[in-house]
Amino acid sequence: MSAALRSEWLKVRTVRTFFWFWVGSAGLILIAAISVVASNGQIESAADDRSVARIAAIALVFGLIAGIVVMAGEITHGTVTQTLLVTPVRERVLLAKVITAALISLFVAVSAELLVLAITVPGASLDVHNSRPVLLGILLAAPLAGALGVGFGAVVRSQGSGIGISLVWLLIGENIVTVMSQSAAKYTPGRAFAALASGEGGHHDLLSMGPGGLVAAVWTAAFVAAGLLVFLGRDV
Amino acid sequence: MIEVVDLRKRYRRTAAVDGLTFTVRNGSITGFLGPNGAGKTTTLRILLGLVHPTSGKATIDGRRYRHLDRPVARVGAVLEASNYHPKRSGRNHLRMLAAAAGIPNTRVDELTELVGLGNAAGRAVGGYSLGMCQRLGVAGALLGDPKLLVLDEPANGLDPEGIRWLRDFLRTFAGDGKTVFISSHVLGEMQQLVDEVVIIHHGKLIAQGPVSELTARVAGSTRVRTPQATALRESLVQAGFEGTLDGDQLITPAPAERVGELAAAKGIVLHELVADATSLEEAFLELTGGDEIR
Repeated sequence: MSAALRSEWLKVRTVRTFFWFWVGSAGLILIAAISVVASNGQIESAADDRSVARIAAIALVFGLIAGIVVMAGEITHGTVTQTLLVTPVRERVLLAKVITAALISLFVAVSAELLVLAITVPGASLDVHNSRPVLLGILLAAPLAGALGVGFGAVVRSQGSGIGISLVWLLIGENIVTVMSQSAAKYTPGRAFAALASGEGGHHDLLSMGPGGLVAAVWTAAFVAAGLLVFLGRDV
Repeated sequence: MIEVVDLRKRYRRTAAVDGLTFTVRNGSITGFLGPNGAGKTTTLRILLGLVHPTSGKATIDGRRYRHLDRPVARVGAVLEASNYHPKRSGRNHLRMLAAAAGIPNTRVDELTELVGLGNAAGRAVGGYSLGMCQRLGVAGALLGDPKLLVLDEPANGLDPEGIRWLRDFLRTFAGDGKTVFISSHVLGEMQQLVDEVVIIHHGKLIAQGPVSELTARVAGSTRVRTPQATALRESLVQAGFEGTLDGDQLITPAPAERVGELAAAKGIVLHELVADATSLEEAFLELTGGDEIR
């Protein structure tokens, strides 16, 4: 298993794709955090603290995309053939990818949180104590987002389609579900991850943090299981 | 030893492999021939655990690829030349495979030199020619110093120098008592390289055996010069073959190997034993009913 993990880590390190994900995540957070400092000046309530800290949740989208690329990128480029020739036990390959994507996503999330804190604590007097539940929620959600991305990538088998479908779902699909049924929308993957990263006790369109985390974990497990079934069953 | 037993693979209504059975013995260079769409690549991919068979089995030393201990130390495989990340360097590609197999990076450097990619190993694979990609594929296949090489059309994209390099390399590899199983459409090259061939058509086995035996079988003649031509002819007739005498020469449809065995058994002296020099390509076309090979 450690050999498969070392190989996955080398795959990540030897192309710049993941570096650009990290730069993209950092860039968006930089813009959002600076605009908070520029517009508000001072943060005055605990709710505002949590709201500003949630800027770091942008990292979860990049973690999800990183997971998709870790899995589907290999299929798109055909390198999965050689991966499976060296490690023919497909369950082991998928598990190594899940762990790798979870770690990448966690790294992006930690970087995002540090960036938010570095800008908004001195710039807008962000109270770290009040922000702690949000920061913890994002750190819990990040590995799940990466792992879910791997499962989804194994199902769609194309990194372009995987990224496109996931963004369309998050930006449009979940809103359509909300229009159809607000109570059902709380249980969609995006809303479940948002609930986990909310750091709050829940309100009309989000579950509270604990149940949200549980639903996010269930979605992650379901996508990883579906990805494993597809990966085991499909010809390469 | 590679053993394929009643192997079948269906894609919806199409049978890509249809009850294929053959063996590849250890220590041989065996060519795997068939026209375009005959099922060669599917068979190789099933053997390597990449494609699931509909039924039947394909094993290496009695085990499915997935169940081999340290498969890279048993089998090296060269498949498509395009299976690389275009932005990753050749060296990093090999390091990635080496890491998964627990092989040190020194082996990677050794192999990039061996296949002639030493100077290009640090460049992104996207800038490689097809021939360089094939060489990189060979280097990847050799990482674990395997006893068996499986190659799918390795000569594709290679220039004449590259083809000569590959042929010399495979001869050296097989000379160490290792096994090569190679599919190719360059029949002239195959005839110079392989000991035996497996010919398939429409997913079924058409013929298997030594190249000399197949070409002789199709050509239908072996020429023998012997001072005991009449005695040899009698032996051939007893064994079920015809024989035509022409002075001290005898022409027979029996394969050269069989003629030699019969002569030895009867203590008959041979001055010359020549299988009719039909090319592998002619034999192939005869056996597959004239279908062009790709």
